[in-house]
Amino acid sequence: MMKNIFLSLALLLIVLPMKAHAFCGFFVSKADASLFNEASKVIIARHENRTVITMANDFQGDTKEFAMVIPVPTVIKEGQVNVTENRIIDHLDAYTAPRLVEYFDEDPCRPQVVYEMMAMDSVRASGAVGQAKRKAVDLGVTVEASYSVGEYDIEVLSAEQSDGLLIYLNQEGYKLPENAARVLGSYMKQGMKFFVTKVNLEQFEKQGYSYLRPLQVAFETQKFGLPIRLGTLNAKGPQDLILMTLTKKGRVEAKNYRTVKIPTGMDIPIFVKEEFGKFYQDMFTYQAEKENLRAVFTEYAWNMNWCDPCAADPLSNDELKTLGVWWIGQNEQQGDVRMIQRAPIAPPQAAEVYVTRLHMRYTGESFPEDIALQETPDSSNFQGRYVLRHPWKGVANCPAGTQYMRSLPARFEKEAQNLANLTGWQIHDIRTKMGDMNPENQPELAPARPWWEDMWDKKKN
Amino acid sequence: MEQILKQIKSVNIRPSKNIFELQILKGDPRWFQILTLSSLMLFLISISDYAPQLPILAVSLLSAFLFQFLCFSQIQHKAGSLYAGTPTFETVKNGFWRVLKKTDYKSPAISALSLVLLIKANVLWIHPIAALIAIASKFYIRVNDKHIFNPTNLSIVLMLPFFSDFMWISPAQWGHALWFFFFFGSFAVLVLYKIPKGDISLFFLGSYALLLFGYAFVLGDPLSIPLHKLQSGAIILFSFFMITDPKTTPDSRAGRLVFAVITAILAFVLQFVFFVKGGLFVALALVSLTTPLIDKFKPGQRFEWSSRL
Repeated sequence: MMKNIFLSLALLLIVLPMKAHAFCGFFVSKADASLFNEASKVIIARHENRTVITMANDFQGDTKEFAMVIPVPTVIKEGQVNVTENRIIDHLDAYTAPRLVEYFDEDPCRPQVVYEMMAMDSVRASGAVGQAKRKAVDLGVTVEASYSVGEYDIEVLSAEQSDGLLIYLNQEGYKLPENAARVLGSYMKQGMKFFVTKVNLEQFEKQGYSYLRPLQVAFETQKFGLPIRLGTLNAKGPQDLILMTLTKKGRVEAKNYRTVKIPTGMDIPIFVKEEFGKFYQDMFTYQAEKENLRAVFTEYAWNMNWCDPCAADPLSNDELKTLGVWWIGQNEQQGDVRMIQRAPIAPPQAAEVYVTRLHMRYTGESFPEDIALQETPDSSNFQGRYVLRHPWKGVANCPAGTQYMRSLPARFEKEAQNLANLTGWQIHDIRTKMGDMNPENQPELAPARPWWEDMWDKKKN
Repeated sequence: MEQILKQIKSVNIRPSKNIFELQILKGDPRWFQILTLSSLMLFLISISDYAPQLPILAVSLLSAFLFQFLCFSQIQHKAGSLYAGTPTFETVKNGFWRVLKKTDYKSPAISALSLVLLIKANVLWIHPIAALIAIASKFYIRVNDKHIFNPTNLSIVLMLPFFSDFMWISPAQWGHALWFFFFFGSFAVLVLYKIPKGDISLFFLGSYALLLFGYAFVLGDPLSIPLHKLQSGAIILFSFFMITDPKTTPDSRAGRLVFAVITAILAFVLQFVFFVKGGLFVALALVSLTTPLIDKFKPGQRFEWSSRL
């Protein structure tokens, strides 16, 4: 029992560290692992009140120890639950990830032809996971439904008393901390049910997957949001959540926390290409701390029909449907005779899917209540994008070339400043790392000729 | 602008025992309200990623001034005081010129600033429509010579359901520091100016806070949750700039207490039980309908700004 048992409240998105002594908090940073590897990754597709939540499951431990509790607004029936595959989530993650764009300066002595190449490094995030052992004991808790989907055994619980629920869950092996009773009670009094799941080992082996697949739940609710409170209960430090939403109209923002944009579009030194992951983590940490962990960062907000530059191929309609975009293809059913007979068909429209990627880092103190979300009609595009410009390395023997060469040190310095402002890195270290582009070590160029010298040919006179 | 300069010049700087002796503080409190709203706007524009855009601010102010002038002209015309005798180009021009100078621009400025702070839009025409509804409601929806609805509030309530493809409300865009600044700024205006009927702000905030804390107590939630719910820019704007509107609230103190408590309860129920979009604003609009009734049972002294309308 003293195993490293913890549990993730997915809708709640949390990993609750259990009493186990070995566990030192949800947000464990390994020396060589990116902080974001401890992040939860959730996708919500929503239009009208129909909501589909997909929770990535990056549970790495012994599958028999996995257990998850999700507060849900209604009793979830078997048909409302699905398991899908990691690759769809990874695809959307890659598609919306902050990106690095590379440009190569052309020979300044020749007319400019602009082309671009894109390098992309998806910042990885992984799902919250937990584990628990379970015994069946009934304790005044109603099991509203019980079924298996894929490798998951699922129960939907309702309770009259938070204490009873806590005892029941603990007897089932979840080992919730004492202070969870208050939070469970709060959800319970708000009429929520609890979606409890563990892995059916026999099924898991039969399916032949090497990982636990993402769990999806579809339901209708007026409340658009994400419960996070249980997950912050015992967390030892800040936790990360990457939330991607798929909606019809436009950008999604938090209603009860300040939504900001991640700084974007800056030119930064080209050595960052080698360490983009570290750059982005440091930048996010620096920016999040500047906001005192009280902000929700928009990392991407774009119509799903196109992207520029594309960090990955856009998702196919099938993938979008799997993620819960139920409104897609509604106008493409002319082939279905019954549909035609039933009602006149609206003219076919382009798929209306707008994707928003929100990244938040928070503690129980900075995010005391569940995140409430709203879809806005703002469909302007935004992406986290950082630009590398390779200077022209060839010969440039022309007035324009000389001018270009003269402009470089200032440009390198600006790039160094940008990087320092974004990440809080030491400007001196940045300059050193820039190597032959170190703005402080640029070769002396002959002083510029006064601008009037080229204007009149004095020798003539 | 000239008036502001005059008032600033007239600030009495001789050592005084009492801050209330400063001339500017004896002036029209709406100047100070405009100052509070404008500095908030400047802050937002300088720090926020999703700040009000300058073109939207410009069209809002201009359209609010224009509608105020037009409505006021119409009222004057109806009263027969736009021009005397037969209309000639000269008399009508002079009449309009007189109205232009007599028009009050403070109240439309407050309405326009509040609208820009509360409503976000992805098109330019939303705010002029909102301004039109606000100003027109003030002139034409009246009972016993009092307008029924707070202009800004009514225009939000009427527009939200129909224009949700173009507008939205972002109550959390201000952040903590700004919230405190705004809260204390507004509170200072209220107290320093002894804003007429300003007690209703406190009645409302008090009862709304009581409900939030009570609900948290019932759910067993920590205090940080109701506190966080209160820290919304929309609530401050609502409590200090909308519900306080002396022209739309009951005349008696007891009436205002009843009004504030009912509004708070309704706002709470609409938001947290029925999840109504803009529940706070809908609540005020509905409760505003009862003001004439409350005034009938609990009459009090009618308020007038120093300059009419």
